[in-house]
Amino acid sequence: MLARLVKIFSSLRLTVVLLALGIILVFIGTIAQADEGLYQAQERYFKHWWVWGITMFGYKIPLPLPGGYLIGTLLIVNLIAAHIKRFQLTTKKLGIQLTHIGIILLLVGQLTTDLFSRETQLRFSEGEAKSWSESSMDYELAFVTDADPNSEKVVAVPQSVVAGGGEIKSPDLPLTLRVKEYWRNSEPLFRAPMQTNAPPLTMNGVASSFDFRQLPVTHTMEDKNVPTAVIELASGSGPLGTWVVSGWSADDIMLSAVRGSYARQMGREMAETLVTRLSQKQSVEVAGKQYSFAFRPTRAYKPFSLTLLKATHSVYPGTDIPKDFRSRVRVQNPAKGEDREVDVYMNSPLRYAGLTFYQYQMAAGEMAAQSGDIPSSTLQVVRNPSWLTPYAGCVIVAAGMVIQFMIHLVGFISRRKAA
Amino acid sequence: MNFVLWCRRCSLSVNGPAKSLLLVAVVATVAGCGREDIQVYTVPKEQVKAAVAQSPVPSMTPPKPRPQVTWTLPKGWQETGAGQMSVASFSIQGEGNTEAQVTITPLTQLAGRDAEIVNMWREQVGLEALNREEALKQFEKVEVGGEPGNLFQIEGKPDGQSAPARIITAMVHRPDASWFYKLSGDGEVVAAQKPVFIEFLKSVRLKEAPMAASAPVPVDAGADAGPASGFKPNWTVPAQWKEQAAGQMQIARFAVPERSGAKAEVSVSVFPNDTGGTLANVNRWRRQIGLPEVNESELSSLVTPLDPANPGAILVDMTSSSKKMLGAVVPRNGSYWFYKLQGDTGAVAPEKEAFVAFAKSKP
Repeated sequence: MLARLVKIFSSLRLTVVLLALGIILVFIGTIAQADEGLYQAQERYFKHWWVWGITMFGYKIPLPLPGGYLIGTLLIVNLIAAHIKRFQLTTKKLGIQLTHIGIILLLVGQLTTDLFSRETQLRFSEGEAKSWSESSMDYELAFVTDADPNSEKVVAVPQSVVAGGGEIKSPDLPLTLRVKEYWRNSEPLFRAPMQTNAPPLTMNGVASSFDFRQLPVTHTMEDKNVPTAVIELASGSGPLGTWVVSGWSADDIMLSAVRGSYARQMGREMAETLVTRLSQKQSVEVAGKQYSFAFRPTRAYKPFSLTLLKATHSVYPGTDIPKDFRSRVRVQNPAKGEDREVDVYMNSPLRYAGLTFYQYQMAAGEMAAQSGDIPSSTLQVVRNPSWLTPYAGCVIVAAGMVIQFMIHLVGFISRRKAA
Repeated sequence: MNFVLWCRRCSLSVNGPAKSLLLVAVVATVAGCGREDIQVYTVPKEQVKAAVAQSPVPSMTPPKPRPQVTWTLPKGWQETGAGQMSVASFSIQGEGNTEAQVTITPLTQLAGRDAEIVNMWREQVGLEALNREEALKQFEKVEVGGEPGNLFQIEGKPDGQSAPARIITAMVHRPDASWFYKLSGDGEVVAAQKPVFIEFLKSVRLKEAPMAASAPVPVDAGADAGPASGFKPNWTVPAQWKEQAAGQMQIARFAVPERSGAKAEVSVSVFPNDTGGTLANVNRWRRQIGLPEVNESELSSLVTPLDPANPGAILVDMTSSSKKMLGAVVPRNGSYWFYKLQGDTGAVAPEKEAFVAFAKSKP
């Protein structure tokens, strides 16, 4: 049985089948991006073991396909099994051995990148210090309470758990929450005085000023799915009310968009008033302690902080064409006694503590001055522990091919000379 | 060695000689499992956020009041609204698919950099930079809204574009900013529109914005906080109306007498501006009682003056199959008071006289 398995897994036929399936998957996954959007297509076709049903040219076809994980894993198994079975410790095969090791490294490197790399964003205004970055896609329902005068305890419920619905409990949280409604994408509607509105979702907190409506899930790169949930809170001593928690209330980027939209319709002062209401803090009291809660972008905390000293956004005069984006940041790491200033600008990221900070977006310069905003900057924060593996893999593959070629060349020349 | 993997949906235990082969698969399963768990951690308190939360607009420096721009729209031009940097823009259609655009953009810190400005524009259309003397020779005098300005013209072929582009720019350095009026686009359309553009420049008027435009409007506090804030107008409410708890952004709400089951209520709100203009407000109200929207020409038949003593005050009376609405917009001291009597026709109609008197009375 084992011998049969080894024979199957080490066969060249399997390699060819897997490579063919890989080509088909890449083709279908690429076409599907037009209908499903880049992120969902990547997730469904390449980051899953199986693809249950494909989409092509607007048609849904109930065709199961092996996913990227399955094909990649089987390719590695196939390569390793073939290696073990046919391995010969001889200098004649050194190049081939190296080439295969390089390919294995590429495959493993891609898998580990996929599993362990993380991209988040750090958005701050001039003078603001932050020790966390946040996801641009995912949200968490965070309950925050004072731990001591200088720190606070956070219990963060991931969006996927909220989406699962039902009752959610944590031993670190003295309250139970029950998800009554969950919308992956939503929009806020101000309960304007001159409009007739249906009864509010609940009279507590933000829901007394805003209605929220479910929207179809978006797959485009330009739009973002902003979730909203209606939750019921209860402690051991009784119910704590029904509340609406929405990504619109705790996502600075979306709040900024709402502010701009209202400012155009109603003027700046009114827009600010409405945004203050939308982002109002919601909290409940349990056993004498205040627990505030918000559906905020998922945060990743760092053991150091970055302060934005100056955001420079210059454009060519009379145009909106950017000339330079530049963030002067201060890096403070109390554990290492580090305190230094550094410039982050286009093509010159800051590499620190295993993270890379790229200049991503900016609201500064003339535009910020006109709208009265404090200049702000957004850095893309990338953690990719295996970022070197593709480079190493390619070098090894190239070296292997060169060595193998040279072995053949030297052998060929030797044979000619001998003849 | 024993690999055990657990998450909320699956568990996997692998032991024995196959472990090395399965390691990769096990690691990959972590991602395939797909369900994250609740995280608990302690972090330093957010100092900045806390400071922001204490006051609604602490981080905002008041915007500099910009002059308001008016103009006479030339024939064939179409207003396309303000852009990210521009305060106004216009589109001009030429023959075929050709077109040109006009933008009005105020920019600061550019006074005295005329030569640099010319070169920046030249760079846009792929022309080489000129020395200062040559650059300043490009200017011709032009009148912009009664003020002297400079105009220069550039023609070239921008990178990546097949058609040549022409840019005519007029600029006036003022104390608040340098104002740029740019006509750009298809070379032929721009050339043909140059005389029109120069006439347009003459018609432009910059009116200094009142400081109140950027300062908080006094009634805003009342409108924001509602009756709970203690903002109580000193008005005479018809005796038959019963005061109700005001809703969000309202300063007052009243129930009018019920008549044979027909109900209606009056609401009053105050905004620092007219929230989009009469047409937008009337159409929003029409939608609320199930009526189709009207256009600008139909609007005049719906709107009547409310108060001869306050020429800007308007009254709108609209009736659908079963609902009726009386709406009044009254400008007072730089703010806009919105009155609305809405409900069943049987309850609204008898209250019209009282509603009009109430809306006219000075709070």
